[in-house]
Amino acid sequence: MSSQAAHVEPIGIYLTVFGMLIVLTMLTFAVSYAELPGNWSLVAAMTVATIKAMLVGAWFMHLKHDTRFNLMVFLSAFWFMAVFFGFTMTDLTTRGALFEIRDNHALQAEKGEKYATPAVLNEGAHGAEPGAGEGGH
Amino acid sequence: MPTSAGSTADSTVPGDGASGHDDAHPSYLSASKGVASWLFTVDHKRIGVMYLVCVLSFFLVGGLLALAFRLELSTAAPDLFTASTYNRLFTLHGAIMVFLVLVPSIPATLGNFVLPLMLGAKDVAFPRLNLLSFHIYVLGALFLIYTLVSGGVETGWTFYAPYSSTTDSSVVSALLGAFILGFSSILTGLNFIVTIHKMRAPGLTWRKLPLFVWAAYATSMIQVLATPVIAITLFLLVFERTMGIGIFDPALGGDPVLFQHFFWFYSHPVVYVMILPAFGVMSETITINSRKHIFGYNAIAASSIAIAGLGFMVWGHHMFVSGQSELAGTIFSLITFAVAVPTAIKVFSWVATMYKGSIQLNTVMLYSLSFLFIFSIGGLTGLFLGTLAIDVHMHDTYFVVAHFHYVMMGGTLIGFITGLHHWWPKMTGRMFPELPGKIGCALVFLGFNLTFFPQFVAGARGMPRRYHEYAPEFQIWQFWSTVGSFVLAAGLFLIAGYLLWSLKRGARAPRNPWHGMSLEWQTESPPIEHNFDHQVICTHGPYDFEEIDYSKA
Amino acid sequence: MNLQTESEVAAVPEGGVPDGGVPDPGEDHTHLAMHFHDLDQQKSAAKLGMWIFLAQELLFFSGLFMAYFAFRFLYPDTWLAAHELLDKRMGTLNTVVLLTSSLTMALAVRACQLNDLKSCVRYLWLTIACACGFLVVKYFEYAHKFQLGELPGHHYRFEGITGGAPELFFSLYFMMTGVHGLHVLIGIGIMVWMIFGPIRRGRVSSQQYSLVENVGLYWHLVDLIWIFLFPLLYLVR
Repeated sequence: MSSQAAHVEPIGIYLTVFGMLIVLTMLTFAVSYAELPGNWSLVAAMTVATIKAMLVGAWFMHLKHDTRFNLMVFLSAFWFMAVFFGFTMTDLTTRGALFEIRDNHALQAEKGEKYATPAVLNEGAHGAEPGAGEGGH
Repeated sequence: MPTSAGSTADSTVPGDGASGHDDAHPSYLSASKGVASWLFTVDHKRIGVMYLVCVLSFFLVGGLLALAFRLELSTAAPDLFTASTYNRLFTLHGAIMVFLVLVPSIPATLGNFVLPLMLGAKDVAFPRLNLLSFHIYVLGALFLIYTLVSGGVETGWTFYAPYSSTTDSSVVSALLGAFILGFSSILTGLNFIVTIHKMRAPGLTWRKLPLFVWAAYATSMIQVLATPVIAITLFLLVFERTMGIGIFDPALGGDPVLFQHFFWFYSHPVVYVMILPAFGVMSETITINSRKHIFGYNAIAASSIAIAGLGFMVWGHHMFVSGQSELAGTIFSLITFAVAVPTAIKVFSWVATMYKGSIQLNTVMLYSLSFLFIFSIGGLTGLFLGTLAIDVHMHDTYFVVAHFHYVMMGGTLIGFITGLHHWWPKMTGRMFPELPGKIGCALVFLGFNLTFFPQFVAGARGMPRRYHEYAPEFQIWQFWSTVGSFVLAAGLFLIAGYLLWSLKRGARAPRNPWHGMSLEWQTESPPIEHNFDHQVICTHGPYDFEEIDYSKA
Repeated sequence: MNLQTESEVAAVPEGGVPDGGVPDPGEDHTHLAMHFHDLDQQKSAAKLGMWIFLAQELLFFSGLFMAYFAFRFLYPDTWLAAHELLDKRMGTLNTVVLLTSSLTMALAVRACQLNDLKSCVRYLWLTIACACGFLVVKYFEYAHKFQLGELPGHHYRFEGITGGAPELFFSLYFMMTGVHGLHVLIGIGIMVWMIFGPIRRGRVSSQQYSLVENVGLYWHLVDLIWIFLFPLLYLVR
């Protein structure tokens, strides 16, 4: 039985963490007005959110002084979320990929029309990786 | 041998300590009386018994539904039911069997009963939470019973959208039932993980845990991490039906394939919630009845965790023909093959355990051997279906039906029956009769194979599932399948008969009828209210059988 | 979520002294449940249980986030247009309110550690006040959207967005904030119960504050989820 002697943080630590959280909130609010290209807006917002989440987790939720295993339990949830998001987005972003290859080779032009996927699907498959920030969840 | 603090009763050789309860330590069955003392008990053993009664009752209901539509299927023409009634019958059969029987079968009944005993603990970590999860189970069951009497559902147990969000049947109550049952499952899993981490007796290290406990641990991981996803999925589907939020409805721009991702992210891992505890039971029963230390303890323990982990990454093999992308299908197919590796490690280890063992061919061992035979067929046919190209042909045929019945019925439920026999003396204090037990096992084995093997053939020849009227060339297979289902039912009723008989008339069970070495055999049969009358200290492994001379090893 | 309920902590261990010999003189054994050896075991079990519960909460919300990312990918233009309809300032205000409630909750737990139950209750009331403030702001946001017909699914009547499936954005907006709001509401209920139940009846002390600590963890998780909901719904373009 590992002894779990209460670790009492000085009140200043909580106030400092709170201050940082407010500053980060204002930062992300300000950044949202900047015209960032592509998915950079998502990346920036998710990065800030992840830092905020880590602050809350480490100090407010006492993970910094908790047993390693409790941290592992919590992080494992993020791992399984990443599995969930990763595989599902793999499907969404690559639907119709075979049809595209076929179209590019111009083997069966008329049939390609028949099976054409919505424009947005094809467009997304070429573009920058969407939802790039979901790993941070 | 466990040493005791003040008691001498447990220092006897396992097996010959006759059970005797004194007034100071009455058995858990007689510790208090009255209905309320059961319904509001926090004793994990009583909760396990209540789960057992519920699960077996719903097994009866689900089984009778199956017999009803097996009768319909014995001829190619529709004779007993309309198509709509037939759809409701198989949907309710599936939903009841999955949510009310298979998922709680081993963890909530046998797990609740023996897990704390195996750990040398007085109870699970959160006894009140355990009771709560039972009450939630009953509440969820009431919703499904309401669904049954209010006309049923016809969507199949998978509730695929958008059919489930548009059809005119009691889908909402079925969804809410499954949603509520999910929380029961989550709380049981949570309780078990904490119990295994925090409640082990002194000396009971991780590598001295019985393999049933390792299996329960892996199962609980899945229950806790996968079940919430089905909860939110069913929640969204309820809103889809009642408010038309359209997330899974293509008419509003939603994506029905997304529903399948959500659904199978839970429902594939959940088949491991069903089968892993059965693996755990096998690791106990095969080893005890071979009188030999288990082969590959570490490998079996690690493979349980590996199956739980890999099981989260293969759900897309249910969706090969659903419009999922080819790349995703290929990846899912590849990882599906990877699951076969830890599964095979288990099967080979059990066979190696029996090699040169002193095998006792009692009822429990006969069931265990049946499991090995049937599960191997079920597991290997799974590889056929995990193969992308073959699945395109096999998808939604009777081959799939036969495959998952070989795994779920032949694996999980035979594992459940094996465990029930194995721990029956511990739970009830009575022995079941051996001869009827062996006859029951033979009937179940023959009936099961006669029921489901013809379905492999019918499926491989192209018969689709979920039709009550079918082409006449399949009738021969369906007819024998129906015959088999009645043989199987006869076997199951025989088991029910002699188990009930043994409650009153069976011989008194000794503490340790099978000469096991894990801690649950070191207490009375049936156990006293708080399991042990002294602080248990574990000094040996669960499979260090006495007659084996380890000095030569 | 309160893993430590009252009757579990009622009984004295059999034989009085738990395994391992001399009990710590500072420990109050009336708070030790029958099936645990000592308070350390009981506390660490309660906490591990809570962390596992939080893990399943995350997976519960993951379904909503998954749907968000899926439709954001499928309808990028709609998402861009629809998120402009949310009021960033209201969202930021609510973020600050919820972060403040997290601070007061952390301070409530700290007060328990120091056995200062009076401050603990005061901080809990502050937390409840912030939580109610959050819901009030949410109410005004919802009312505004109801007025404009920016509603989920087939109730959607707003005509300001061109592009595919704008109703899905609002389906997800209402489902995500609604499920989150439900968690806020449950949190308020538990805090009020805790103040008038276990704390008032003297079941919480610096020796035994697992309940307050676990409710705190739950509350921080609700905050954590909002930390991700806020930029995804209000800010990201």
